[in-house]
Amino acid sequence: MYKLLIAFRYLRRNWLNLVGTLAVALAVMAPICVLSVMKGFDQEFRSRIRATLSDLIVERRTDDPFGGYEGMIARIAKIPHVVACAPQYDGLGLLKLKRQSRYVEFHGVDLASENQATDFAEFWRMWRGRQARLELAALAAQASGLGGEPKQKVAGLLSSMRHEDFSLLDSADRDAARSWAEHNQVDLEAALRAGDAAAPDWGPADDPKYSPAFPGEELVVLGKYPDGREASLDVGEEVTLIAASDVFERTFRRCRIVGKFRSGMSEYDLRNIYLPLADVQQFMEQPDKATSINIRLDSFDHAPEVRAALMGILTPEEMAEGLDLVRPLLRKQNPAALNSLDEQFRRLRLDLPKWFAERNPQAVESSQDMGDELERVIADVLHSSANPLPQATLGQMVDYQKKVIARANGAIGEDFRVSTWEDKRLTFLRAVALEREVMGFILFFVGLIAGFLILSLLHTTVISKTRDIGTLKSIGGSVHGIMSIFLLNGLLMGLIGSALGTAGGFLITRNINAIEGFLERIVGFSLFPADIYYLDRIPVDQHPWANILVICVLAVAVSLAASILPAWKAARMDAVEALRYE
Amino acid sequence: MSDFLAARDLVKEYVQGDEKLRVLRGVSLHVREGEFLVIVGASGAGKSTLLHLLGLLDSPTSGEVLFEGKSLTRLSGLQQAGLRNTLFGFVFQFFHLLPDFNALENVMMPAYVRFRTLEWARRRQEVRARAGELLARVGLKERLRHRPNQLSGGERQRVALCRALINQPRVLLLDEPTGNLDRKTGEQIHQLIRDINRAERQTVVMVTHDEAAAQTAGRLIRIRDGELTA
Repeated sequence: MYKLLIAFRYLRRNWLNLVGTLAVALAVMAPICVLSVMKGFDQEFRSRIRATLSDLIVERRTDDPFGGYEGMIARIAKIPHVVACAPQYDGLGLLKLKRQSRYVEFHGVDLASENQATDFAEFWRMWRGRQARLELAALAAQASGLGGEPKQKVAGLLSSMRHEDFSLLDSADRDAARSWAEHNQVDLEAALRAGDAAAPDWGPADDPKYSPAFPGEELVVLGKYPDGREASLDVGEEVTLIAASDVFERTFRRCRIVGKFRSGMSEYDLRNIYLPLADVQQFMEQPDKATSINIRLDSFDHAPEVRAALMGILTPEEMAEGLDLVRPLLRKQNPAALNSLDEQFRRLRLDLPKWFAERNPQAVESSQDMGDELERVIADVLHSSANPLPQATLGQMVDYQKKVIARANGAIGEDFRVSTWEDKRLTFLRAVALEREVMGFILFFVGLIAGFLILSLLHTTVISKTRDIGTLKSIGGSVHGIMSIFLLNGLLMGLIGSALGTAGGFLITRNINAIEGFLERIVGFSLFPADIYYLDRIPVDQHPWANILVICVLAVAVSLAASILPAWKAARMDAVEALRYE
Repeated sequence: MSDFLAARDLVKEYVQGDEKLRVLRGVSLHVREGEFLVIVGASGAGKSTLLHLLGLLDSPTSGEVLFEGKSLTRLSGLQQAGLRNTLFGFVFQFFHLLPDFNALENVMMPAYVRFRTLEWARRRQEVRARAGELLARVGLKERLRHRPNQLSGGERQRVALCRALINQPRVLLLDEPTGNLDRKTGEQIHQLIRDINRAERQTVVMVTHDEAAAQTAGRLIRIRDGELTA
């Protein structure tokens, strides 16, 4: 135990050791902060690049519109885990605003069902909340405060806001709004709840000449004023949509802006406009047709099952289940067939995710083959008269066969394709994943640098403790004992540094926005300008436990590894030589 | 006669470049239990090397060290470390106290090294009491909590002496214990060593170049150019 005592004492009394501990702390703190912010960005980014994509999207393989979507929706809605479905008609066109024109994707949606199936309503609220926040901040900035404003206007602003928008206000603005609400006897909480619940609507259909439309907020920006403010078309103003149709006709449709949406993804907000489904069907001359069906699930985790159900194929789990069912029998009767089935399944399990991600029709075909194969084997078993299988197993097989047949019959049809939203954004998601991996790689080098620092610090410690080492040997310290002292020294640096680093990283990630604000006041310009990052605050993953664990384990391992060499050197030191050292 | 500590034909050579440096040329001697043996020689005569070999701090080129008839030279590193802990107590010219620990801790350190965790927990109080007694006996009762750099040279050497005695070694090995002290303080240290030798029949082997100090010893051996002279 004297090893631990001495290691501890060295750590406490030797400033080199303190520096080493600090280095570990920094090497732990930096990745925690970086990874937390990156994960926060990642989550934020995922929701943004997803935009209004639903969990699953059903389209024709040929991408052209199809009829009878209502019957399909009725069938899809019965599949377990499906929460809501909505038809959609997508097209490409030009949008003319004043003298400018923009290339756009327009989406004909049925708002009531669209709000159930996708996050469109959320994006609409995001825009309203932002508008309300800007206006309220402008009001609050006026010398008179909110007192002089007409009550209705402020009350209207507050009920446009969601709780989240309100929490993003400066604390002074929040206080002003609170005291204003109290003074004017407006129920702030109720107003914000109304904001949370508000849903987009097309407004009164008063003029058949116009279609109501929700453009993305950046789509209708005409330009910028010298002071940086945006000049954009406002609610109530008109735009003209020229839709491209497949017979090279151009279809003009005048639209009135009834609201905007904001997904936070510039690319998306610059290109997309939402119109009523019925209007789009009418001017595209495709009555009762849609180009896709959006499906919301109770959880995205169920996407593979639901997709399998839609395509009439088995999921890999179900295939494995079937294989296990026939395995005991086949092993006895036809091992070759079992081997080929196993091999087929092994390949499928490897290839399927990729094929599905790339929307490769082979995914469906191969899954169907596997299902057919399993069904055939089971049918053979069931029909052969001489089989000694117990009743329970037979029952299971019958059930399984029924399931396979029902699955095949329940499919929505060969010429449809089912994608998850991730399949649709594959390139983006891959880019993000790659970025994360590269960052991890870079952070690994940070750890390595800390490791080398510890190595050189401990080496210096060993040199400076040469006399101690001689002394310890003279009073009975063994090679093993001396080595342990310096290994423990490194280990303690790793452990204490990790603990400090975790605490520091935690404090920083928890308060990163406050820190940013503070630095902003000191340096005088914004370190995290909202218009560049398109975010109101730095997003942080609040629960990076798994990351912290991995980082700390690595840090301790690196510290320990870095102390091996110095410890070895210390242990091998010649006692007489060390004692002569004065 | 050879029942206690003995050296037989100890040779120690160092290789420096092409040159072989022979520090000890076949030294044999016996240390009797309870005696105060002083080995006197000029610097470079090989007396420190002899002491290091006797105390298992260094291994001879040839020859061996025996204790109670058994050879210590062929023991494993771990066993030798154990003997340095329990059989021998060292005192060096430059004190060699651990600077990060106070006087009491320095004295207790060999006992700490000696016992495993559980036994240490049981014996800690006993060891601490003994360390306190030893320090009180050399007049450092008031300086238990001082670190080496807060102590004078004489005080440091007295702490080192206590440390050497804490595990009740069979042999106390002293390497120029007064070489780095003024004459008066050196006298006091010598007196202390003599007292310990007499009162407890503690076997003491001391090497020194100080003829005056050597005269007070029980037995005197002279060493010159790596060989014992009468």
